[in-house]
Amino acid sequence: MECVFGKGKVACMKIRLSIERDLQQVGPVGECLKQLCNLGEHPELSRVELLVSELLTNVIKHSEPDGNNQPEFPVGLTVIADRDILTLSVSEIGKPMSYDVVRRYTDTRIEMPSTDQDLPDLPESGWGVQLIKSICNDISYERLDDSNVLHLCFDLKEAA
Amino acid sequence: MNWEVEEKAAYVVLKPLETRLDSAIAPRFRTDVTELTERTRKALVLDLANVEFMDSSGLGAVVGCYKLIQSVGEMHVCNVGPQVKDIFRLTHMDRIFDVNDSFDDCVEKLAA
Repeated sequence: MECVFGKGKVACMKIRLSIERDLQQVGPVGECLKQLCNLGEHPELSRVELLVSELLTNVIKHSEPDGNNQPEFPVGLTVIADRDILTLSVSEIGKPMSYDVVRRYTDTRIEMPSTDQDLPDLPESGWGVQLIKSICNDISYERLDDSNVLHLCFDLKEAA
Repeated sequence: MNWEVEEKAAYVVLKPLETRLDSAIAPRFRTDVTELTERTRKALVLDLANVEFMDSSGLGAVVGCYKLIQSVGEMHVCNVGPQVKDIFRLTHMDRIFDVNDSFDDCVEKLAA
């Protein structure tokens, strides 16, 4: 972890974390990040914790082994805070994400499950990626060697 | 999952003691509420005073509970913190759930 401190606040910071593929790890990572970034109690700033939780949960639950990767291969999380811009990059070794999955993240249209439908059809899942898209300013995907990497950009100033 | 439950004549109060309702705990939450509802067959007051953080998995579990409860009564939610309120608003679930400022507001509605 590298931090450059400004007047009482973190001006620039880079954190690299390696996380076990275990959903129990998601909470502590989100909480830790919230504290490190000094995000306070403002609900919109606390969306960073929500972003991390949604991203890590998706990767842990849905990533596909490629034959070489083992369940013990960790998930990488890099956080770069540069003044008001926070960039989160999540990487995992596995099969390349399908075009449809990549498009679900990068398509800028936000399609929240409809709350207008009849009660029995009210969805109990499918909110995660749409939440990520509604919070982030920019999302991109790249394939690096054997890894899938998602980059998310979040403007703290805009959110506040 | 750790929670407090208080059974009244007309309704049940469920108060999770967890600070996070996320993917690690949501399946257990859903199972526990299903068992409670099937046993009591009463309306539910979901007191979220201790829940500081909810993600989409937690939200999905609450939606599941809401749907389940409809066959036996109403579900009222109270003591919602700022982050939980934010996720309800982002997903428009604040239009679906009956979200109250206090426990007493829920009880008033159930008594009406």
